[in-house]
Amino acid sequence: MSFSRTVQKPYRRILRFIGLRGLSIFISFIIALYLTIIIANMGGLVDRIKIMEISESVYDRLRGDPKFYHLTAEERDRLAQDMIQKEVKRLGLDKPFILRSFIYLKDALTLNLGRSFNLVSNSGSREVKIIILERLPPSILLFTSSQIIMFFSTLIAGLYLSRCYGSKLDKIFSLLAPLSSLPGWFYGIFLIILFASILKVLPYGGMIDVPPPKDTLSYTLSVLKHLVLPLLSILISGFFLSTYSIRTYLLIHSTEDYVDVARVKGLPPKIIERRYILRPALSPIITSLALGLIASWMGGIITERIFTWPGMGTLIYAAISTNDSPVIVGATTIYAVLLAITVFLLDIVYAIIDPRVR
Amino acid sequence: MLCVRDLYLHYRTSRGAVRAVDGVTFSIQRGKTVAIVGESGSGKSSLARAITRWLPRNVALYSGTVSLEGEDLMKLSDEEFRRRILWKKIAIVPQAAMNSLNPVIRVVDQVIEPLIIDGNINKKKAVKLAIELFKYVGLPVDFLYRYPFELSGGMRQRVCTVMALISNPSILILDEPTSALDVLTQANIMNLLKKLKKDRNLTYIFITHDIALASELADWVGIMYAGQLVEFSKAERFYSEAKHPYANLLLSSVPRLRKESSLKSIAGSPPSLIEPPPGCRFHPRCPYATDRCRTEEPPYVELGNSEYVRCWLYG
Amino acid sequence: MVRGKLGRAIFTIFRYKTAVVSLSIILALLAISIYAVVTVPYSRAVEMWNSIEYWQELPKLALPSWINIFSPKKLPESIIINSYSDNVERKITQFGGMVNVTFTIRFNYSYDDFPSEIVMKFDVANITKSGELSVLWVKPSGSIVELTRIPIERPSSYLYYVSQDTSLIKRYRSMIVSRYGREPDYALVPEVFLFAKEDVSILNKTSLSVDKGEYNIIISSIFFEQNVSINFKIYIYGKVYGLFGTDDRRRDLTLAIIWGAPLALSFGLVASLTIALAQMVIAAISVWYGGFIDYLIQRIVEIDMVLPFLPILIMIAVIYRLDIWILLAVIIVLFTFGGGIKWYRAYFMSLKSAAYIEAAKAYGASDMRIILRYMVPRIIPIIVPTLISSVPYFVFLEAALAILGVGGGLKVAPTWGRVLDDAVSAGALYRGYYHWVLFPSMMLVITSVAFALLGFTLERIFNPKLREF
Repeated sequence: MSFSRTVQKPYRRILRFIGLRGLSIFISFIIALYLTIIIANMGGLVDRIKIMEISESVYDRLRGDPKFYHLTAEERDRLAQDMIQKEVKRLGLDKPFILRSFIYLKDALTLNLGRSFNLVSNSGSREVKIIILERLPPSILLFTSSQIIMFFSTLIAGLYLSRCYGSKLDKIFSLLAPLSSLPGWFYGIFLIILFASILKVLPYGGMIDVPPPKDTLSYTLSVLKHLVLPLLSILISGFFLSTYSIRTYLLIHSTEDYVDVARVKGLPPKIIERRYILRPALSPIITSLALGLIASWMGGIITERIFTWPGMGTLIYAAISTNDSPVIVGATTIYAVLLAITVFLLDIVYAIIDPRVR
Repeated sequence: MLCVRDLYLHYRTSRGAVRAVDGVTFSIQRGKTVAIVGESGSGKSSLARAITRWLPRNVALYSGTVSLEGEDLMKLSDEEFRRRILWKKIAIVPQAAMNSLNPVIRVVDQVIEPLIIDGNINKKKAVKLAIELFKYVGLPVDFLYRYPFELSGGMRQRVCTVMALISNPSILILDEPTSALDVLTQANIMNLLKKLKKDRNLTYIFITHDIALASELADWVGIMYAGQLVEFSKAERFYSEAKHPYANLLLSSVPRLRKESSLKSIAGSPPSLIEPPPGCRFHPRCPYATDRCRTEEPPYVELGNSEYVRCWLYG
Repeated sequence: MVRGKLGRAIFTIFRYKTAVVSLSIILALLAISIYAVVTVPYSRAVEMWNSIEYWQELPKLALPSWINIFSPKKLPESIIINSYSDNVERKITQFGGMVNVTFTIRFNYSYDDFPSEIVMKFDVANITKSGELSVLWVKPSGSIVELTRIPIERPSSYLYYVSQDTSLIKRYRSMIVSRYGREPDYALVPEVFLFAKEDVSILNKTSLSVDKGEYNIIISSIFFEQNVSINFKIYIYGKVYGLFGTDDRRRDLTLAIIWGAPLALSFGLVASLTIALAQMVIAAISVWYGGFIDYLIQRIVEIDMVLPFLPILIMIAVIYRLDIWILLAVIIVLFTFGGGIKWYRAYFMSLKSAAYIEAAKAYGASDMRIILRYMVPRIIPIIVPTLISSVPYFVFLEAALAILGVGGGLKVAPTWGRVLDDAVSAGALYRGYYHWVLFPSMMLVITSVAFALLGFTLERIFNPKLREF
């Protein structure tokens, strides 16, 4: 019969849509990355980083190879310069700016991010990639937990608020919404003052007690204890406005004709709420939650600095303080990757939820 | 079979109470069609809402009797009304089908919804029913798996009709089913309605502003003006000799194909439903208005054979 | 017609209490800004904020002076005495070839708490042969403490940090031990023990109390030539100062609190306004010309959305060492091509195919006329609330950049964000210097909430769909 065909076709359509969007985002991402490199290298920074890396590896080689032990310092230097020049030519770094930038782009895409000026990873490596990889998990922990809690709490609260609209609680929320103009890190400062400095019940910052507990249970509890304040600061900041926006979206969608028709179709109120108000409204709700998501990626940098949470944020702060540009450029690259992935995932979610998008 | 008596529906607005349905009484027998005709703003759609308890949040007054096969529906609780009566006994095809369908749910799922949610019909059977109905109304079956935004206005109208029929109601209210459609589609819809009436012995309440269109289906005609029924007569008698002056003016305003005459219109505009004129609400535009008409509101009198009129000309 | 609508809109705004409150706060901030700019010009303010000498006479980390109204324990204000003060008695005696110049300084101290710091500065000029200077401290109880002896070799300024004089501390501690038989249970500091009651209470930190009364400082100097000029300045730094207290560089926070207003407002408003206008123009161009230009602009927007805004900003700021105002321009450029354009574009698209636009085109209206008369007035109700609501974002962005240590050149501007950064970096959160954090934060909150509230209310007024809610 024709139904199997008609049922299969939509799925193929979704896949095609996702494929196209993925490609489009990937291209935008490459261009964005390229722009980043150009901006970074307008003062020749990336060139310097690259040359420094080459000369470091050359000197390492000279030092380690017994073949060269007998050389004097000057001879070694001359040999090193020679090898550096050869390497520069080999990698094509003596070519004009435009061509060099493509080489750097390839490097960035393969995550070959060079070495830092002075920052070192916990394992002792100065490779930017390793330094960043070390700092990524704590950031992801903080970030994902805050976003998951935010998503569900604001959705539930927004739903509840839209049901009792016009009530006192509703009016109170509308007055509290402007409080969300204060970013999470700002609330963080006061949470620290209140809970760490005055009440002394929660830690000032960091992710784990010093010295870290040995068994996994106390370790987890310690991390959770340190997670409370940063998480709370992110939540307090975003909660009121998000909830109020969701409530408003839901109310606007509840005035649609098809919701009205659903009522006279004899459908129970719970079904109407779920299928006729929530589902169509999911698209704009997810858009605004997504924007909040991306904003919190950025805001997280400062939150981490305030709480000295050992993630990307404090890494960037340390890099700023020590003027360690390779780390900053590398971190920017990683953020671009994360952002591209987030935008792509979002488009997939849209495609699944809203058939009109396809 | 359906008896509406003294039905009132007033809305609360910032400018005052809108008396959309202001004391309406009529009755229908099974298998007959009642056409409710009136200008925009006369309260016809509100009448449909009043009968189906399809109320907004700002209701100021809702009272009267709606008895279906002897049972007074107004006495039922909301939940009982929803479970037993709504859509199963009385269904409505709403006006403006453009936005009547949920944009993110497939047509088939919306059509079979009423069956699956409260009824105990399993999905496969419900889909079969939907397919049958689609064929019956002449819609391509694979449209079931489309989304509403992929359908044209006429198709959506037919989908809404199918949706209304899915639970096999005995009464179908049609609110301006053809107003937004072109003449060809209009003819198709009318033919479909006639077919349904014949095959399923459906009872229609057909709401329209087009008095000529109403004549195609109507067994009885009710004229609404300013929230009230001013005439309720059998169709044949109505179209040959209507009683109420407003009805007559409406009939004479229909352009004739073979006679050459200037277009007649009714002077003035429909009255406000918040502050209707004193006395007979039509008196400012009525050529036969007397002093009594201007001060006393004429009662809704039965002239025999379940026909009613609200005019001082008939006592 | 447009003016009438504008007038009506303004009138409706005043019906909402929240709008009135937020507008008055914003007006107050504007007034403060004008006051700041008028009384202290920008360059001077920056100079002051970055100087050390200007704030010399102020105590470090002082609380606001009005706190004494509410506190039962009166915190001291600074006492600064120089050679020409009224309470200084100068006596010059000569004996043989020796010239003895003695200053006797009398001052009253009746506060309930100890000073924060004591510093003495001696300026000696016209000297070729070595001399000596000694300082004696006499408490109201009569006990005398010899503070120090300073050999004077050449004309110069001699700074004596009494609070850090370790030999003085050692001497005093041994005096205490020998008098009371045990050590005090806290670390002795001169600014405390030079003002403490000398009895058993001095041994416990909790039982310490101030010896209130008249203090004498005797500066006696011995020279072997005539006409040596000697001037001094004594700083007994208090714990309170001014309207908002001071920070760890002795800067009066009032300067930053007041000047922070015009800086925050200009940063926020310039950013919001420029970005909103630029986005509107770009979106209008994109919709009007359509085709390739539209496609190009849409791609640019998509690229901008994938660019991680803050890291790129930080990267640019660090690599090129830009200061905050150039950074503002960068911020504007980065934001302009962002997602906001999509909103304007969607709106313009719906307008473009609107019936009245087609009608206008039909009667031959020029493009300019259509844009100005039909499109712009309809989009203003959408821009204005967004614009106002985004001001707090930029104000906090400046503060965020400050906290990250980005965007300060050699001369840092006195913004609220900078004060907050100074405070957090100096550990004010752990060390309890809450006033340093509270005052700039308070200003940030007031500004931010005022704009957010106003934007919120305006959105409800201008968007008819939202009005029912």
